Parts: sequence; C-alpha cells; structure tokens
Amino acid sequence: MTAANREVDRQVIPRWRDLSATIEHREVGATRRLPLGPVPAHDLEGLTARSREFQTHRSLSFAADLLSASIVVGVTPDTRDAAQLVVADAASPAMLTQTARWILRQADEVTDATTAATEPSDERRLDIARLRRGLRANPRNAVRWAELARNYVNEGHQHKAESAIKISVSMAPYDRYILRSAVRLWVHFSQPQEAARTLRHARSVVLADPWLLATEIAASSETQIPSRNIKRGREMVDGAFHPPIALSELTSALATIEMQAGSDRKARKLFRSALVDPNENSVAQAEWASGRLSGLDLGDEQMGLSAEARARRFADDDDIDAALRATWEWLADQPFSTAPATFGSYLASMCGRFQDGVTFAEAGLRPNPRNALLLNNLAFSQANLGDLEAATATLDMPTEIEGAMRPTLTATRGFVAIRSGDAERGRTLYRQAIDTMPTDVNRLRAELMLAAEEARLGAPEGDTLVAAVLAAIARVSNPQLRKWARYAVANASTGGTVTIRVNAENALSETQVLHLAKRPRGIAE
Amino acid sequence: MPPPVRIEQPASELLGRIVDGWTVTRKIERPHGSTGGHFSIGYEVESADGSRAFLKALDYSSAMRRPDVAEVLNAMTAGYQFERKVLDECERRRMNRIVRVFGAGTIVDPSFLHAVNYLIFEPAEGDVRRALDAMAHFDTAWALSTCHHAAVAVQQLHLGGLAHQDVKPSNLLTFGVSLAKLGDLGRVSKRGAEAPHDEMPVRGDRSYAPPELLYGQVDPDWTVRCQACDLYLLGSLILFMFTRTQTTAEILRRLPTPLRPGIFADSYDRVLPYVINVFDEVADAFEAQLHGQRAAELVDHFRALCHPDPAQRGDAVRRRRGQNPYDVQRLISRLDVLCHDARAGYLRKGSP
Repeated sequence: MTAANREVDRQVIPRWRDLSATIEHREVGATRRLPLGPVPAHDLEGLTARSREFQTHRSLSFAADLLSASIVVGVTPDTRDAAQLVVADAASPAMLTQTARWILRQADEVTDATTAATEPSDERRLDIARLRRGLRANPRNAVRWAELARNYVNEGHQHKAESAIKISVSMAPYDRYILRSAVRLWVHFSQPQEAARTLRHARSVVLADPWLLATEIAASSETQIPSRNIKRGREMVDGAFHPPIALSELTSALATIEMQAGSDRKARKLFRSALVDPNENSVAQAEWASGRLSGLDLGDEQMGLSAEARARRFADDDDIDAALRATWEWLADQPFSTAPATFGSYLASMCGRFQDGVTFAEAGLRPNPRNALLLNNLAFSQANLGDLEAATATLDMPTEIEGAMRPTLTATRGFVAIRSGDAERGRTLYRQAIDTMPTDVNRLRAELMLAAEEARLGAPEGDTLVAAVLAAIARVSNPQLRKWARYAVANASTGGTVTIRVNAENALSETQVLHLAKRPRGIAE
Repeated sequence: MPPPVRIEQPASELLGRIVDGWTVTRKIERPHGSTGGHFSIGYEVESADGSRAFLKALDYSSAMRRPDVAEVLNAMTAGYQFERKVLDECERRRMNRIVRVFGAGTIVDPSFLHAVNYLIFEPAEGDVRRALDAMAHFDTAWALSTCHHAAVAVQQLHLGGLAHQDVKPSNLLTFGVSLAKLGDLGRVSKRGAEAPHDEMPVRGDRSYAPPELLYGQVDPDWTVRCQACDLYLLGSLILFMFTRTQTTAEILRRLPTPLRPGIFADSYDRVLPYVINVFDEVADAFEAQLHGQRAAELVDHFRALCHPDPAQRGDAVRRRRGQNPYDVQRLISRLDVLCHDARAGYLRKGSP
C-alpha cells in the first residue's frame, strides 16, 4: 500500500468542475468587472409601461411580459405581484412558472444584483445521454462538449473524452474554461505534452490571462520542459493589474517553482501573496507546501475553502474521521481524479479502516479502472478484511503499471499470499519487491509489512525483524514513514496479537519509542 | 383683455375633433404597442361611413417636462418624419402584414399651445398578448399561424430594405382570429439611409433585444446588425406564443452573474460560448413544452432564429450556399406546413 500525504509532488493543475461550480469558485468571467451603471432612461420608461399594462390587465401574458422585462432591465414594485399571479395560475405554461419561481427566489434571497445567485448547480447538471441529445440538436456548443468530456472522464471513457474535449477546444480555442478543462484532461491522462500543446495556439490569450498563464506554467512543470513564460508570470504578479483572486493560482504556481528550486524565502512570500484572496486550488497547494515549507500557516477561513487542504491537515493531526470526511468531499469535487481516492484509500487502510479503504479505492477505480495504485490499495484493504479471493482477483485485473509501481504490487501479492496461507510464496514475493523498490521509504515500508506478517505468523525471528525495521525507520528523517510505522504497529495490536506490539516496542531504544509511543486518535486499544 | 387660455397638452384634448375626416370618439388608455408610447396618446376615431381607426397623436408637451427637452423634441420629430416615410414605403410596396396607415398630418389650432402631429392606423382588436389571454384553450394552429404572419411581415420589410428592430408580442396586432400584422415602425432601420435612432446600440425594446446588442457588439454590416436582430426577435416571439417567456430573459436568468451584460468586461466573443450554452438550455426547456411529431422541427426553427451568434443565426442551408441566411422565406413555408400539421395533431403544447 502506498501514496502517503505530501509524498507526491503537487502542481497547480486547474480543477475541473462543471461550469456552474467553476463560476461559484470565481474561476470564470472577465478578470475585471464593469461597475454596474444606471439603467438608461428609455429602458426604464419601457419597464414602467410594462408595469402599467400589468396593472391594467392583471393577466398571464401581461404578467409574463413584465417578468421578462424585469429580468433584463430591472425589478419593479409590481414584479413580485406578477410572479405570484403566474405561480398561482394553473394555466401558466411550465416554463413561465419556472421563471416566476426564479424571480420569487431572487426577491426573497438576493438584495444585491451583483451577487445574484445562479440556479442550484444540481438542477443544471446534465448526464451523458442528455448532453449527447442536446449536442445532436446543436453541435456547436463548446461548453456542452467540455461537459460531455468531463462526464466521460468521470465514467472512465478516455477516448470519448479526448474526442469531446478536442471538439470543444476547436470551437472555443481561446476560452479560459475550455482550455483549462482541456489541460486538466490531458494531465489526467498523463499526456502533459498534449496539455502544453493545447495552450500553444492561444499564446496571446495565455500571456494576458493569469488563470491561463498559471495553467501553462503548471502544465509545463508536468513535462520535462519548463515553461518559457515564468518571467511573464512574475511580471504579471508584480504588476498586480489583476485582482488577487485572478492572480492566486499564478502566484501559487510560481511559489511552487521557487520552493522546488530551494528558494524557500521567495516561495513563502509568494504563497502568502497567493493566499490574500485564494481559490480552492491555491489553498490546497499552500497546505501541501506547508509540509515542506516552514512558516506557512493557513487560517480556518482559508482551510474552509479547500477539502483537499483540510484532508491533509486533519491527516497530519491524526484526526482520522475528519480527514476521511474531507477526503470524501475532495473526491466528490474531483470524482475523476486519482489523487483523493488514492489519498483516502491509503489513509483509511493505514488507520485500519479497511472498509473505508475499499470504498475509496472503488470510487477512484470507476473513472480509472486500470490505475495500478488504486488496485493495489484495494487489494490490500480487501486482504485485510479477509476477502482474499477478491484481493487476488483485484491484483489480477489488467493495469497500467509504471515501473515504480511494479515492486509495490509484488509486495501486495506477497501480503495476499501470506494471508492466504502460502507463507513461503509470500516471503519470496516480498523479497523480490524489497530488492527492486526504487526508494528507501518504500523498501522500509515493505520490510515492516513483511516483519509484521512474520510476527503475526509466530515466526521466531518476527519480533526481532519488526524491531530492526522500526529502528531503521526511526533513523530515516521522514515523518510520513514514521507515522505509517506507528499505525502499522497499532493495527497489528488491534488484530489481537498483543505480543507483537509489546515485543516491537520493547525492541526499540528509548528515543525510538518516543517516536512511536504517541497513539493515534481513533485507533482502539 | 386677458390673452386667450391656450391648451398646454393639446395631444390629450382631441376628443370630439375631426381630424383628416375622422371624428375622434374615444381616448385609448395606451396605444397598442408602441415603443416610446409614453410620448404619444392613442384615440379611437370614426369616419362618416362608420368605419373605425386608431389615431396616434404625438405628445410634445410631455417632452417639455424633460430636462433634455431639446434632445427629446428633436428625437420625436425626427422619429415621426421617419416613421411616416417608412409607412408610406410599406403602403407603396403593398406590405399586407404591416399595419396600414390611413393618414398622417399636423393639427394646427389657435387654441393649442403647439401643433400636434398624428398618424391614423387601421384599427386592431388588440395585440397577441390579449388574444392569448382571451383563449380558453391554447390553439397551437392559431399560434403558428400568427407566427407565420409575423414572419411574412418581417420578410416583406426585409425585401424592402427595411428591418423592424422591435418585433415583440405587444407590436403584433390582431385583426380577427385569422390575421395578425406587425405595428409600430418607430424603430425601423432602412438599408443605406440614416434613421434617427441609428446611434442607439439597442434600438428596440431592451428586454427583447438579442444578446449581442446587450453586450455592445454592433456589427458594421447592416444585414447582420438589423436583419439578424429581426430574426432573433421573431424566434423570441415564437417562444412567447408557446411559453409566454422570451428568449433574452430566459438566457439572462440562466446566465451566471459574472457573465451578464453590464458586468462582463470583455468582448461578446469571449462570453459567447456560455451564452450559447444557456441558450441551448432554453431550447431544451422549450422542446420539453411541446409534443407531437413536429415538435422538434419547431424547436429547430427557434434554435436557428435565436442563435446567440449572429453569424450562425438564420438559414444554415442558405449560408452554406453563399445566400443571405436571414431570408425567412423557407421559414414562412415551414410555419405554414406546421400550422396544418398542428391542425392534424402532429404538434401541440402541453402534456403528451
């Protein structure tokens, strides 16, 4: 099992939500807004005439005419009356009734025309069938093609999603929402070069729009070729011509580059600037960076913006229930993304919440059925729940294995083999995995798992092995690994083999015990 | 001897007078559909043979109370002259779906503070809003036939090098059950000629105006600017006849606040994908109101007429052939067919 909190580098790749949600996150619209001017006199006179006609006739058509004029020009004292008449009239056409209800909702809830709410996003969400039907009637709707692509991604239909987003980009090649959606799709499908290519044709727009510039810089970071527009990004941030919300992602992207280059001071300053009026993604980035960068504190208000940030923070604080809740929220926001599902399945399994681990992994596998990491985490949780048949089947599913993942999967196969009663094969697989693990952290994890299994099996050298691995872990300066080891020991104790915990802790030196003694919240004694 | 008292608001004191051979018999609360109707007063007039007509008198005195009096008076007189010319042109070209003008002139009376300009029109029963309200049950065939008449009116104007610019329910006047004509030519634009309101980006009623005009995109090409606007308004009229809603309001209410006109500080091109997206929602909602084999076709016409992109609006086939896509001849034929189909039950509004 793998993918711990903050172990993987994070870039400010744009989020991908439906249009309503993206607007709610203030990521669509001109970077500047016009101040609301007065309504021209002749328009007001027309509106007054509609009001007078309604007062005279008090019938459906005249009420309807006033409602339409009120939406476009402005509300009159008679507008509410007209809306109520429409709603009360059983003969009102359904579309008109909906409009009247909308006006009544606005009148009840909204006092400031500049912040008038959109319809609840649930009402606006369309499924694939409806989107396709709509596109048959009007194929020239770039936003619908992008929404169709998003739905396809959520369902795991890669090729259909790629076709849909290409059509969308061809129809609106300079639109921020479409371009950011496209970049997110290509990064999701591990094609960052394609993401960068998508933005190349819109260079003039990218250089003028901080949202797109941030996307370009972040997408380039995913490739081996760094962005050529970092200087332009710095100029834009320094110029402060755009409002802080518009610069938030760009500043975060630049901060990330500085942090990766080791310029902590510059990075810290930029992250703080990004947090003046941040969007959700910037908060998540800053919270992720705070694990590597000291002195970067996010307030409650900022944390409230981002489920991902809360999930990471709660996980650090060992508030597992809250962390899992926040991770669900993060997954609901980005259902296609492997990141929340991986994070959730890892965290849940690490804390012995194997059923949650299964649920997270399965939710992530729906849009990403061949994701090796999620399959690995699912199999691990299934095996821990005793469903060894399912775990074996999961590991036998076709996957897209990257080189680094192969040893992890081999280790999990070893784990399943041991739990299935074939200890010898399990040991062999574990040894194979440990020998090929690309990093010390992963190797130590696998060694601890094997040692714990040996102890569980009652092998004479089990306790010694556990103690040795724990000692090695204590020497590595990796808080995430230490936390994982602490939970691994705790999980072993909840499994009923108290001896392992006692022996394991006895085997540690005093200093090492200090690292491991803090019992995580939510873990039963 | 004190000077004689002169009538300060002569346009509202015409009752009982004989104007151009017509006796002014009744003041009408509001003239049937007229943009800027607040500067005119309507009367019913009767000829010696008992036939009736509608008289619209320009109320210059109301303009006197405005702080921008010179500007308003100038606009009123220029507008009056222009409307007269346009109406004469319509008469000359025998546009039988445009409300006929029976007379026009100036009333000069020593007791009036100022002269009164007037226009006398053939009398309508009312506009389509009243006709719809008077119906016990919605008549799909009638609605389509009325839209057909409106389309013919638009085509007649377009063939004469004119564009109405203010097609809306209150300007579509009914003459019995089977006839509708387009009235209020006060906002007409003429190809190659200057009109008094040409400077205004939105010439007709803002609440019906196509979105490109609300975002300030005024195409320099008269055909795109004016005829495409008429097509949009015609599509909006179709929507109104079936749902009593109209396209612009339905688009705007679905459009997120930051993207609305007056707030979105960028070009129309930039907001167009979103306007198209919500327009499709409107078209989907319209389709959901209709039933029958021909419902989809009517919605397709609506989509073509009201497409938020003027460059995509109108007849796609004609556009592909390099012809004027804003020609509505084909639409007129199809509306006629749909009207017959509606009578046969292939298109209806309401529950399936």
